[in-house]
Amino acid sequence: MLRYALGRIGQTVPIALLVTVLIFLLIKLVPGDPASAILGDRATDASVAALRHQWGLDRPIWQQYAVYMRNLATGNLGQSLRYQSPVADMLPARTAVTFFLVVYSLVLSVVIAVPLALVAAAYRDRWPDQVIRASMALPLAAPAFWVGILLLIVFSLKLRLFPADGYGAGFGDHVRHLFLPALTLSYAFASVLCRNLRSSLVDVLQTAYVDFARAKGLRRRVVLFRHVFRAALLPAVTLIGVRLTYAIGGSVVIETVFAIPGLGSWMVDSILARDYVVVQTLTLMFALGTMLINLATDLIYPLFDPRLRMG
Amino acid sequence: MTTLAGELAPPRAARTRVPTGLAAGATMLLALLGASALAPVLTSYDPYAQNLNAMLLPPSAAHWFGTDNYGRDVFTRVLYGAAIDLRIAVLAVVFPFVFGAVAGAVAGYLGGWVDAAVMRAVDVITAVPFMVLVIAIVAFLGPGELNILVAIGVVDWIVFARLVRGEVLRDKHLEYVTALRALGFSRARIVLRHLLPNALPPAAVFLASDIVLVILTTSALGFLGLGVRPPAPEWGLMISEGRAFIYTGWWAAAMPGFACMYAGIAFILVGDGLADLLRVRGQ
Repeated sequence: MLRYALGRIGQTVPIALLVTVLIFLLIKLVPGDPASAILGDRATDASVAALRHQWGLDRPIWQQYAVYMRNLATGNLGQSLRYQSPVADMLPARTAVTFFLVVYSLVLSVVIAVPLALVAAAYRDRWPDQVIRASMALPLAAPAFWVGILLLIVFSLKLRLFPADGYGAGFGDHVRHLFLPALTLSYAFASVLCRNLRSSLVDVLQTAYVDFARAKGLRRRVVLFRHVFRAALLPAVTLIGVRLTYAIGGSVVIETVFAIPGLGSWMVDSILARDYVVVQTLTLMFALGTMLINLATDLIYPLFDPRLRMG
Repeated sequence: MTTLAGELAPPRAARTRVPTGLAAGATMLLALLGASALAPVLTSYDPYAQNLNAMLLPPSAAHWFGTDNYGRDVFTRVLYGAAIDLRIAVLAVVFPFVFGAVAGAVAGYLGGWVDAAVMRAVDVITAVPFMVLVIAIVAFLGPGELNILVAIGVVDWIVFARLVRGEVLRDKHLEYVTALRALGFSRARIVLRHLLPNALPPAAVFLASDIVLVILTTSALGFLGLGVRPPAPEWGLMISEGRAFIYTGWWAAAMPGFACMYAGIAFILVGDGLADLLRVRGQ
């Protein structure tokens, strides 16, 4: 187990280094010179040269990467040109917001998907199953930001049940403010989770030990929850890890729809303001977060599956 | 699921039967493409012409989907927009599919450092969420249709590479491959002419879901102001422009989204149908 964990962590480190190279190279995609692109038409040759020097753009590329890595290692994540403040200063508060949103959406997905999957599997191929499967297939084709706008129209403009934007203050207020955004983010995940859980429930329901439990005279509900559900939950653990990373990607768009002050809306604002350093750093943060989630999923999985713990 | 009836039916009939979903999806797509191509005949409105006397009119017989804040007919713009969104969706998956399939096949067959290099590239791109990386690349390249295609091309090939590599790894020790090698065929010929075509079905099935993903990504980029530029009637851009007026005219933002969903469902049905068809053949 320890060897497995160390091996998995060992695989992640070189990938993380290669990811920093990829993200470092992103700034080279800017057509022309990034320094003059940012400073605009008013820039003098001297100010462009100064910014180029400050960013190390006048040095060979491998030296630029070395400087980039040294800065990262010392916690210098760059300076936001727009806010004239270090990116590292704004990062914790913004990260907390996005983290709240993503975890919230995960909770909602589970709350939506698990009961639906249980009903669908229990009534397999009868009408409740077909209705649930059809309605769970629809969200996969709808743009999340558009669903968010529809929810906004119905629940905050017409029914006035939830605030239309912002983050609020205090836990209860966050829960209220982020309900619609988290719901928007969760429906696609709920749909995938429900489909996946239903099919593994159906598989488990056909095994011999479930027949045995029934033959023993256990009630249907006891069999379903104590025996079937626990076994079917396993594949869902990996799926939750995978979908968390999707939720991180989706948060970029959803935070913009609901004007939530998280990492995603910060990234979009920075793109529109050509605040390249911030965009670069945030991309790196999203990547590191994703890698941590994937690593955590792989490390947690054996704890849920006794078969893997033995081996 | 094989039913008794399915097993008793003559195999020939099973092979030529087109699944209902596939037929429905294909019909939906043809209808949308046809309506988009015939848009100048189907509606008398111009997708770009502004009419300040007809701003934000609700859906009616004259304007089926209402009008937007410039008085443009939303139905007309949705039809013209189909040409943009579907063109991007189809063009964007060509490079990822071809490059990913070839890279995956070559990596799987050759193994060694080639495989290691391809798989490390796959790992690195997987480490960044799809949407974040596409947005970041477009952010640095600048907005526009070509840059969307480039960004999706850089990121999206990895899925096809993985799928095809998996198939090739499974097939490369089969007898027919050994026979081809014994016949003295070149490695390129074995991979490209023999292993690759056999490894393609799962990737081809995924292609339909990938097109859905690209439609959603393109509209999201348009919505964020990083995609196709105004005044083009791109669906995401239309939703974004309509968003400011949801108090007074919800239809301007809602209708293009339904178009997106319609196209997405059509492609999902085609993909599921293809998967069924290939499973039937495989049996």
